[in-house]
Amino acid sequence: MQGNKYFESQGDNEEVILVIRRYFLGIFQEMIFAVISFILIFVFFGAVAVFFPILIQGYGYNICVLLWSILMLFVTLFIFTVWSLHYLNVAIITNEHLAEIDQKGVFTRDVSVMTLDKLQDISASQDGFFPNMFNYGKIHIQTAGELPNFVLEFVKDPHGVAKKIIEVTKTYHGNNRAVENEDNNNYDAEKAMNTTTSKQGD
Amino acid sequence: MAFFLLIYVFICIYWFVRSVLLTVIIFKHRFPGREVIYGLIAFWSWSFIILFASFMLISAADWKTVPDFMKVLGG
Repeated sequence: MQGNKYFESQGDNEEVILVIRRYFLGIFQEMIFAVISFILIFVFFGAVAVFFPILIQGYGYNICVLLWSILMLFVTLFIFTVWSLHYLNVAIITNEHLAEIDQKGVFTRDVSVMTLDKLQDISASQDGFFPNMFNYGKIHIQTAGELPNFVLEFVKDPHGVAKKIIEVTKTYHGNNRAVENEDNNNYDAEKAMNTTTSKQGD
Repeated sequence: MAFFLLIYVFICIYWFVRSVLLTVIIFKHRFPGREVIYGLIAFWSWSFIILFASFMLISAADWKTVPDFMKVLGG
């Protein structure tokens, strides 16, 4: 992303109100798996050294070192991949748009952007023990027309975030109405001015 | 043993290419803020520690000894 922009179609004067990242518990399972893998690697090679010392002599030692190195590197790469996807998955609310960036894989990326006037309905849900304990959940955003609905998962404080989105949308509609009214007033004033001028011309 | 080393080198090349690609993708799509820099520094530092440790362990190995390991396997 260039400069301070979060998504490509973000305007220069667009103000970022909210950046919604997935709660860390969203990658908790993967992190636990990685930690257990690290432990298992050390336990396995430790056990080989203690119970089968003959296996780590001569070429056995060399093979063990290479195997240990490969396993460690790949578990590290796994953590890096999980963190990258976690970092790149984000929803952004600006004063004009709602954007959802969904990094599905290393080379698969979806960016959905909609203007706030397309936003119809928002609901927040917390299903299960952990979401209620740690106050995270899903936000469902219904959109107008044929636009796909947005589902934001692992959102911290989903009810608060939903409330904030509603406030931003209200402000957006309020500003739009004010601009429309101003345009209408200007149009009426111009029309009145033209009528007066034409009457004077007559 | 050269066969194992060759496999190791190929796996390391795969690991390196994938890591570099991930780094490039993260950098290309990065968001404002410094956390991406910290994440990348953590990943590459840890990876180089592992590679350095592997290099030291492999260097410490005696590559010319009679392979007891092969004896165990019946070689």
